Amino acid sequence: MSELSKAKHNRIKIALAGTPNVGKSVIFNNLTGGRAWVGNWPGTTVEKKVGKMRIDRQDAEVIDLPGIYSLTAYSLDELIARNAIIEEKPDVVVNILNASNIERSLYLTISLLEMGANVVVALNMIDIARERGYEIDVRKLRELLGVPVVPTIAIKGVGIDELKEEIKKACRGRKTPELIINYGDEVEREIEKIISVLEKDPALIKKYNKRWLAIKLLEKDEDVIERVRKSQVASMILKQVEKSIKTLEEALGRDIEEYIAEKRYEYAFRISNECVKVVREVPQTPSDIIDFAITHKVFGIPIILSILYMAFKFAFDVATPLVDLIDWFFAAFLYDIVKSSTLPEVVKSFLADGVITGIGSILVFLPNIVFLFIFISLLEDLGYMARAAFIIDKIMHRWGLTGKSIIPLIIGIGCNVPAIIATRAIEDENDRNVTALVNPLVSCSARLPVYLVIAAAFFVAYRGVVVLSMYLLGMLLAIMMALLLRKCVFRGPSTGFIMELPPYMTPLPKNVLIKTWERTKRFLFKAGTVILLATVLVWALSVTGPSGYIGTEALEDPTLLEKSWVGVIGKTMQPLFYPMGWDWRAIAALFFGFMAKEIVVSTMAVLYGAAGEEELPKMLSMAFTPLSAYAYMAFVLIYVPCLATLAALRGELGLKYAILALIYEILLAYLVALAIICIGIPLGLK
Amino acid sequence: MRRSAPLMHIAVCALGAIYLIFASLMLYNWIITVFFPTAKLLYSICGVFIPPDPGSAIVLATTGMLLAGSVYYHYDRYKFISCVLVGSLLGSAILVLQLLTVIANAIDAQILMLYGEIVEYGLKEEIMRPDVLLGIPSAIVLYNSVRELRKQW
Repeated sequence: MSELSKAKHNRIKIALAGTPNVGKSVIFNNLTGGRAWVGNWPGTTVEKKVGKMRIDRQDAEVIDLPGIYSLTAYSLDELIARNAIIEEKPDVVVNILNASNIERSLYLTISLLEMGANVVVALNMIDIARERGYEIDVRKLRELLGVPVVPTIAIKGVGIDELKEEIKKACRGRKTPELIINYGDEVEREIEKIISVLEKDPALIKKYNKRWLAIKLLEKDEDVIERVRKSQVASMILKQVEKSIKTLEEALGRDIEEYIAEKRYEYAFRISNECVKVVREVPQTPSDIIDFAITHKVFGIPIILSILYMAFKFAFDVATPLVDLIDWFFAAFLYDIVKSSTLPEVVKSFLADGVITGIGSILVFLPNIVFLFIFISLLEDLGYMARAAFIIDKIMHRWGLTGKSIIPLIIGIGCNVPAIIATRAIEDENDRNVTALVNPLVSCSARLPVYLVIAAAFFVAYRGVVVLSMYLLGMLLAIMMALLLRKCVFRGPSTGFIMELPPYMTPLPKNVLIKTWERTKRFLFKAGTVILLATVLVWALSVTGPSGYIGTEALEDPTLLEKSWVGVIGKTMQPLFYPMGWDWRAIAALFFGFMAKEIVVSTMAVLYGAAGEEELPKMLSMAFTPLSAYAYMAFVLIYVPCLATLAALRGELGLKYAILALIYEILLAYLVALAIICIGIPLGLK
Repeated sequence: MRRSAPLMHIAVCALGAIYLIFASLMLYNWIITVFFPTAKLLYSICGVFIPPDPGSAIVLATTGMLLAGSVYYHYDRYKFISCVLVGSLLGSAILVLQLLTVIANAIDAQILMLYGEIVEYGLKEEIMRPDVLLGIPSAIVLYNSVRELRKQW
């Protein structure tokens, strides 16, 4: 049976592997047309992106593996990528190489070839390599690796057709010859000995490449050892491995794992040396030149602040007309239609005061969120976010924190849930726990509607700065709490952070839009599910009370509303917040905001009877002072993580730490809000 | 080019200094607005409005620091170009952003007027701001520094 006909029964699988920032997502979008569905890797909550492409009139599944440098078992990303190749057995692995730094990328290629994967190499960013004065002999590279090599400039779509053609050929049955690196006579002898024992278990060598398995066992790879333990001849194998390691370490006088890695690097260096010629001495690339100022020790932080401010200005000021259009649609058009209909009063109130007011008060911020995500995606694709992480890492490291925390903290600006999951890439347990625990302090997009409503009520002239101050406060508190936790709870040294800065690239509109859509989708989904349900709940608790059904008049009569369940909740909690001087309705909104932070706004809209984006700030300006409103914003930023974040914390760290996060955040929120009031009043702020 | 280099250094440094002056004035106005509401604001200088906007002040100060600070690296061509390029890029970006804001506000005013609201809209105050006015020479500096960078490549 040919490979293709076999594939007709089992869907063709193509995996994309490459180092971070090599252009993997762009190639994924080029191959799949940007259509992807997102799931989880088996046994984990790490996001798995899968797309579709057509090969010989049939659908093939394209799997986007995490960005990795090698295939060890040390980090979750590398383990996921490796297991995907072992378990899912892709028909082709497209390995994307950075042409401007080929030696570094080749380590992964060598690891893939040693595994016996059917590899097609995409030599991406060939234009940048040329700019840097490198000339790559593609034919030679093809010869040395024994696999097809296609030069590409993914961002411009150059070489993508040729790459598709090579993928098709590989799917039709071309198999990559197994790469055999000579590790030296002594090591080779021991590899042979291990292989001879492995061959005693046919099931094992049917599933894995035996030479790869032997090398991994010599490297003391824990995941592979676990797999081998399931074999019937496990004890024999492990005994031989132990003996071989001992013999080799004595003979070589060093750690065998280190020795094997060094041999692979030597091999990568040899290939790179033979294929890459420096045809032009280039003292500095444009990226290097720009990076001098961008990553400067004095200018770096002000540049980050300036760019963040511009992101907020773009998101709030430029999006204003769209915000008003959506507001008009919900607050005037839909609201009036329902209110003037002949439906029964309860149904009218439920739809207009509950559903339309609640959902409308959130969806009105959709343009702000979309514009913010467009800006962030542009910065990511440009290569700036990596620089921002690099600059912040310098500060973090000075405070004894790991720079690896930066990536999850930055992801947290979008949503804390994937950010907490992203902490799995941090190997050190203490660092991982601390980063996950402080992540909810990073202001996610769910808090944005709260800031915007309050900023519109009190800080119209400089709402960008007020919102920026919330993001900075969140980051500052996260760093301070991390420091505190590191000193008191999770003691121990912090690990280092190595980061490769990608060259600057022109962002591709299609990619920016795809990323923006993927992020916005979550917000829309939440609006249609959790927020809708919560709004209905708030409405129901507002028209009913301990005495039973009060009537829809409660929504227009504050005295009646006080007698509702919402009134009872708000009034009961009010004494706790007496120093802040918050209205009981705002306090009740905090109670419901536990489900999702956006619900604070939808609840306030229902409780203050505000149908439109402009009406709620007007109502709030009567219930708060600028100082108490700012304290309220800070409280919303810090207090309890939403339910989904709490579930993620429980999943990653366990119930004990989820409760710890819950308690410390409530206390911290209260202290910070109180501090704002206590400092603000003597300063003459109202 | 070599002869015109010191002139370029002086021009960029002067532009940076003006940016820093306006950034300080904007911050001053903001501090007055927030902490001393009874004190007098510096509303405008030579027809240039000084909004009490600390966010724009941060961008202006950063741009000023980069442009003025570039002279410190006059001995190294690449470091000098780097500071000028990034500084002028920030200056031009805030100009573009402010112009987009002006357009958005104009559209917004039309939308609000369509459903009967009376909108007060001061176009002059939106345009005659330091970030817009200084953005024009910044864009010229940006053009020149990009050209300079391209010459190397």
